[in-house]
Amino acid sequence: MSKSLTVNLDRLRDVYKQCGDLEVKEWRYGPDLKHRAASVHFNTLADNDMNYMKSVLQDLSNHTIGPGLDVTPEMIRLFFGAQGVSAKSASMERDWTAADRLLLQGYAALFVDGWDQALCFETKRLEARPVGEPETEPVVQGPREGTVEDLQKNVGMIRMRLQTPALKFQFFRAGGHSSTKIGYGYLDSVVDPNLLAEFERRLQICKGKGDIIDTSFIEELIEDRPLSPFPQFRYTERTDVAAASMLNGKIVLLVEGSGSILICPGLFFDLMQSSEDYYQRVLVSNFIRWLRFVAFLIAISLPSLYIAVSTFHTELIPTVLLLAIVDSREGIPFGAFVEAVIMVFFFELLKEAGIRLPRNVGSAVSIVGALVIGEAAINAGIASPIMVVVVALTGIASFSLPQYNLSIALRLIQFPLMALASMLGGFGILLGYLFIWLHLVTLTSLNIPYLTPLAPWKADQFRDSLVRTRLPALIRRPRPPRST
Amino acid sequence: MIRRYATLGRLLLLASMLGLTLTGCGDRAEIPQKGFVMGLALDEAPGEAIGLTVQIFKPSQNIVGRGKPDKAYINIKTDDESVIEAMRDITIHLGRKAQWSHMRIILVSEALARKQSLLRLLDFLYRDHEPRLTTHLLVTKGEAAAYMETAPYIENSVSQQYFLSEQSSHKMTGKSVSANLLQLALQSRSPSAVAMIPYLYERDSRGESAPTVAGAAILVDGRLREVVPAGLLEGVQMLDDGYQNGIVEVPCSTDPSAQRAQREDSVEVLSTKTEMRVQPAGDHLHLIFRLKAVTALSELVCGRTLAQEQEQALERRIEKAMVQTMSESMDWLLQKQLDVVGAGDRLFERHTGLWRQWKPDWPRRFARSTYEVHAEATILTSGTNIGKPIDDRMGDS
Repeated sequence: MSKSLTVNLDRLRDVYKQCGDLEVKEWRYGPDLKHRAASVHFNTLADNDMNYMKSVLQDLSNHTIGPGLDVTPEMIRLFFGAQGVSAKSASMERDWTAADRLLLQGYAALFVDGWDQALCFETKRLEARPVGEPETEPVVQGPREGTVEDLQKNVGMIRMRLQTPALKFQFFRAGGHSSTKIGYGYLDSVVDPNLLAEFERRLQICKGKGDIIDTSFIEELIEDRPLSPFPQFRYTERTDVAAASMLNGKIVLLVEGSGSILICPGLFFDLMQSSEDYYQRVLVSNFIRWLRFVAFLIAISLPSLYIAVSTFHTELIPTVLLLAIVDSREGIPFGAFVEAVIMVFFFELLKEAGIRLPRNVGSAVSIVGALVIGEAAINAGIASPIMVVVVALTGIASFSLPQYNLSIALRLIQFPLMALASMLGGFGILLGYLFIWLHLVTLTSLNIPYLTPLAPWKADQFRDSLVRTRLPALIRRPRPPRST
Repeated sequence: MIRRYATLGRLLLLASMLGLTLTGCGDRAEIPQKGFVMGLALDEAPGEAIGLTVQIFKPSQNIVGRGKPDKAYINIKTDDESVIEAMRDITIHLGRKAQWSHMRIILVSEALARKQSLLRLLDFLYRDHEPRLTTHLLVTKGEAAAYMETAPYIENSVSQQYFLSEQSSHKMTGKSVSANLLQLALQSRSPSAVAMIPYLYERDSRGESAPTVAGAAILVDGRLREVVPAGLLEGVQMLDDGYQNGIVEVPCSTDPSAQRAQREDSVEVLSTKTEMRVQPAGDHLHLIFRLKAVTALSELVCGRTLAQEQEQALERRIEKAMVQTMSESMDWLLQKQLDVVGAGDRLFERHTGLWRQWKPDWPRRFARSTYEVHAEATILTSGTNIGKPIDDRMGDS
C-alpha cells in the first residue's frame, strides 16, 4: 500500500472499475482542512448514511486530543498505531489482499494521505432472515429454532446448546470468486480422530479453489460415491439436531450464506432418524421409526410389486380383490408397466410443478393435478383406479421419510425395479433388491460403512438404529477415546 | 473412480441384455389377457367323452366398472376325451388364457362320480401348478352344468355362492361336510379309502327351488357309492370328529310319539371333540365313541327354572339326544358297510397285522362291528341372566 492517497485511490478505482456500488468519499480535516483522507465502502453492503471520517475523528478526539480541527496525520498514525481502535471489529491493513477482502465483506476502509495503512471497520448492514422454525423439519414438540443464512449466528446457536470447551469450530475460506467462509465443528472428546483426519483431508479440495455457494457443493466435493443414488451425508436446518449429532461423534459443516448444516458422515440409519424420535415417548418414536422403514420399502418397491403380482403372480391376489382389479383393468390399453410408468411420471411432474410454482398457485396445481391424474385419467381409460392408489401410496410413502434427498433417491430407484419386475416378475424384484443391497453394503461415507451398525455389527450403536432404546441407555453410551 | 463406474455400468448393461434373452420363469400375461376361472363343472358327455362347463369371470365392460352388466360371468362348454384336452379347448372359444388359480369350486355330477374315480378324473388339477389343492369340491344331483346356469343371489358368480354355502353349511349347521382336493386325495388314499364330499341339489321350498348344499356323497376308492342324507350327516360328523357347530334339538318328553313342534329345547353346539377307540373283539371290531360337547342354550321351552338339578337334567337330556343322533347314523353306516369314521385307518395304525388280515373283506368286516357311544355335554351359557324360560307359563312339565 502506498503512502500517497492518490495512488491508493487510483489503484482502487482500477480494481473496482465498473463496480457501481463502490463508494469513495474524500474528506478533508485538520487545521484549515488541509489534510486529505478518503473512505471506501460498498453502499450495497455497508451502512450508507454514516460519515466515516467523522466517526473516526470523534474516536480520536474524544479520547486523547482536544478539538478535532487540530488533528494531523501524525496524530492519526500515532493513535491508531499505538492504541488500536475502539470500534468492535476494526483492523489496520497494510496489505491490499486483506483490505480487498474486508471491503468485499462489507467493511468500510479509511485511507489517510501519508499513511500506508488502511483503517477497516465493520459497517455491515445486510438484511437477514430472522431465526424461524425450519420449514423442512417441523416438529410437533421440541425446539423450533432453525438456522439462518448467517454463519456466525448459526454457530452461536449451536454453541449455546453445547456449552463446553470441547466444542471446536474451525473456519476457513474457500477460494474462487465466492471466497465463502466455511466452518466445521465437532466435539473434541467425542469425535473419532481418524474420522476427523479423513474429513479434513477431503476438505483440502475446497480450500484454495472452487466457488462454494451452498453446503451441498461441499457434500458433492467430499462424498465417497457421487454417482450413488443414496445420500451419504445428512442435512439439517435445526441446531438441536446438529448439536445432538455432534454428541454422537459427528462433524457438522456450515457455509456462510446457507442455512443447511451438513452432518458427516450420514449413514443409512442416520437418514431414517428425525429429531422428534427423541422428543416423543419411546414407544411412540419406535412406532414412527418402524413406520418409516415400511415407508422406505413401499417407496422403493410398491409399483414394481404391483407389476410383478399382476402380470406374473396373479394367484397371490385374494380372489375378491382380484375380481375388483380385473374389473378395473378391463379396457385399459396399456400393460401394467407402461401404465405405472405413465402414472409415476405424471406424479413426478406434478410434484416438480408444485415446488416451483409460487405457493398460492402451487396448492391449486396440486388439487387440479390430483383431479386430473386421478379422476380424469381413470375416466379416459389411461389408468386403472388401483394404479392411482399404488402411485399415490408410493408418493406418500416417499414423502414420509425425514430426509428429502433420500426420498428423491428412492423415487429414482423405483424405475429400474419396475422394469425388472415387468421382465422377470418377483424374481426380477429379488434381483433388484440384491443389487441395491450389494450397493448399500459396499457404500461408505467418509470411509465408514453405510450400514453401520447393522453391517458391520456394532452392538453399542445398534441401540439407536432399527429401534430406539430408552434414553438412559442412549445417554450412557460409551464414547470413543479422546483425541490427542 | 470414474473407470470403476464405467466398468460397473458396462457389466450391468451386459447383465440386463442377457436378462432380456431369458424366457422368464413365470407366465407373463397382463390381467386383461387372462380369463379367470371361477368354477368348473364336470359331466358325462355323449360318446364316452367328458363334458366341461367352465365359469369365467366377466369384467364389466364399462370403464371403471360403472353400471352393472347383466352377468358377471360366462359359461363355456367343451367336450373331449380327457379333462386337459377339454380345458385347452376353452381358449378356442374364449380367446384368453384360462387362469385356474382362483377357481372357487369344482362340481361333479353324481352320474359321472359313480362311473369314474374322481382322483383319476381330476388328475390334471392335482398335477398342474395353477389350480390350488385347496379348491373345494361338490357332487351334484343331476347334471352339474345346470347348476352353473343358476343366477347367484348376492355374489358375483354362482361358483362363489356354492363355495360360501359349502363353508357355512359345514361350519354353522353341521349338515354338510367340507372337502377340498387335498382332503379328497388324503381320504381316498388312506387305508379305508373312504372320502366324503358335500352334496349339492335343487330343493323345492314352498314352490321355489333353490340350490342347497346339504348332505354328503361318500366315495369309496374315489368313486361315489352312497349319498348321506342331511339328517344323518350331523351324527356322522359327530362320530367322525368333524362336527364344528350346529343345533341339537332336545325333546321335552322322552316319549318318541309325543308332539314335537314347540315342545323341545334347542342347544347350539359350540365345539365338540370325539375320541374313537377300536378294540378287536374276536372276529369283529368293537368301537367306542366318546363325545365331549360344549353347548349354549338357544331355545328353552321345557321346564320352569334352571336351578342346579334342572341344569344337570337338561345336560343329561342333551347327551341323550346326541347319543341318539350318533347311534342312528352309526347304524346306517354299518348297514351300508361304509367306514366313514376311519375305523380301518385306526386299525391300520394300532394293529397293522390284523388290518392286513382283514383288509380283503374290510367293508363286510366293518359292518359286523359292535359299538358304544358316550356323550358328555356342558352348558356354557343360558343366554340370559336368570336362565329361566322367557315364557314360563308354557312348557310347564
